[in-house]
Amino acid sequence: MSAAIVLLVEDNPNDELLTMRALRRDGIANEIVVVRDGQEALDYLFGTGAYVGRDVAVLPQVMLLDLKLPKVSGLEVLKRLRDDERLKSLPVVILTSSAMDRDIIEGYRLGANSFVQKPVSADDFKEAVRTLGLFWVVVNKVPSLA
Amino acid sequence: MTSAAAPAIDQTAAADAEPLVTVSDFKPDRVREYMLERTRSVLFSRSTALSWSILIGIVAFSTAKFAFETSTPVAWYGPALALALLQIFLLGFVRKDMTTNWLENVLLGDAVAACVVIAWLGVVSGRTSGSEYFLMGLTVNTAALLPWRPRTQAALALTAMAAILGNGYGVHSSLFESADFRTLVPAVVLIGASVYTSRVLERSRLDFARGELFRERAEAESREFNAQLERRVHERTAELQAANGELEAFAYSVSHDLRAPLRAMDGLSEALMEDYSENLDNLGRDYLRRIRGESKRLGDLVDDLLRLSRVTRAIVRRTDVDLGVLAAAEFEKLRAANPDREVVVTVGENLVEGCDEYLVRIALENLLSNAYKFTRGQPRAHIEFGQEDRDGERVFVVRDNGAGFDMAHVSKVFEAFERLHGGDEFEGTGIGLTTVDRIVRRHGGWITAEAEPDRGATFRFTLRPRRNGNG
Repeated sequence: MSAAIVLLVEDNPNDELLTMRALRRDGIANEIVVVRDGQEALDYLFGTGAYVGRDVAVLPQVMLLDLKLPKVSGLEVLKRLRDDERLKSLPVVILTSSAMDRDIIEGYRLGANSFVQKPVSADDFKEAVRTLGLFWVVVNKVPSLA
Repeated sequence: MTSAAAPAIDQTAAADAEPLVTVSDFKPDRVREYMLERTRSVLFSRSTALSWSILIGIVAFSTAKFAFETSTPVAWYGPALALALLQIFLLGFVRKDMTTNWLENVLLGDAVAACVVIAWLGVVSGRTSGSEYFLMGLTVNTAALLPWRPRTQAALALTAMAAILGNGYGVHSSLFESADFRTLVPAVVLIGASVYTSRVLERSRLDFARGELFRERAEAESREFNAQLERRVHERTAELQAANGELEAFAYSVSHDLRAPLRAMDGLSEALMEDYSENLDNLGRDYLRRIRGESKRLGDLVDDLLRLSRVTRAIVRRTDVDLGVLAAAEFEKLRAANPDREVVVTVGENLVEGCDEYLVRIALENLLSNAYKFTRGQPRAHIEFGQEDRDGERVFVVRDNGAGFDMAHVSKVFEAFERLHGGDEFEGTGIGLTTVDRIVRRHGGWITAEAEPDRGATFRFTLRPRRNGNG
């Protein structure tokens, strides 16, 4: 299943590096697309802006979404996805620093499939990314592409 | 604008506003007035005044009868005095409630009318000159008691007096011929009584009016005061909400922005250790370990601070919570996290209490993990969670036989960032017990610590406000 793409929405280069490293270490060889703000994430998914011409029929296997993002916030991205008929069922894992009740409640209300707080400890972080990578990329099934 | 909300508040405030007592109420003359009023109210309580009136009425009647029979002017002293007293007591009776003017008029009118009839009989029979003065007094009385203005009363009284005196001259000329000045005495007494009653009545009317005025002013003041209070509450609430909002934004920012660099520090150190381990000697690896240790400590500190701020602002929602179940779960977690340790734990029974589950769980986590931590050096570690009854107050107890501390430093136990053990001895941020203290206080309870070095520590706390309120 080399077609399965992981979409990582992350503006912090260190977090990006650590997430990539953790995923790769655990043998996830899938293509990982990294976008660095909410607008870019939307452009990628809707084939607009820098991603004009991308085959939007190809949906990621999972989107790892940070909440505090430049331009368009993570929750706003999520809202726009869920408003779109085609992207409604895209699995979204919120992967964020804060674990404010407000964000968790709002995240699930807007249709997130999972909410993971990025642990500060490197060991815990590695373990969290490993677990969710294993589950969402390997175990979890998504509708096959049209 | 706050003024827009004020009228609505005014109406509700006016409905049940009690007149406020101000400092000016306690001026000496006011106090004297009050004392007088109290005396009067005791002397003239409705029942006493009525019984007095009846008794004196009987005396008045029998003495008047006696006066008729003996035809002695001096005999009229009796009924005159009795009637004067009767009047005063009836007045006291009536004065109890100044709003019922009709009662005042009817009662006094009747009493006086009865006396007029008796006296008139005396005059008609022409038996005594004393009865003339008696009648004169009564007429003056009647005039004085009618609810007219004092000047009208005086005019009426003088006219009546002149008429009766003139009549006396014409018919008997008794006043000077008989030179019986003694007959004047009852008249003077009655006139005095009537003047006194009319003054009292007038004054009580004035007092009543003044009281009404005072009450109205007090009500207006209290309305204004309430409205002001309400406005101030609104303002403070708005300020508090703004401050709370800022605090929340701050906490959010701290939680997000402070954790990200920490994660990078620890993550990259870990990556360095893992990927470049062979390029580092032991000292290099030790440095990296220290960096990681410190970033973990800072991470814990951030988490604890966030928790403390959340706990401080949390609203306590009480439900029935089994603290025994919470404690057992926490002990289980601790056991799993410290598989190499052997700790005997005891959890009491019937530990259900109405409290906020989320907050109390945090408190128990802190207390029990502390107990676990400080019994580390103890070969036969024992931790106990239960309850005690202290003068009817339910007290929860966490006891351990760990490192304890010197009671000389007990005041620092619940203070933020205060630690009684070195970081190399027992790790910690110094916020845990502060958080517990805050949670207990949010519930209206108290917490105490008792310890002895190397003999263990005991924490006692309650989750309810004290009933008798002392403390």
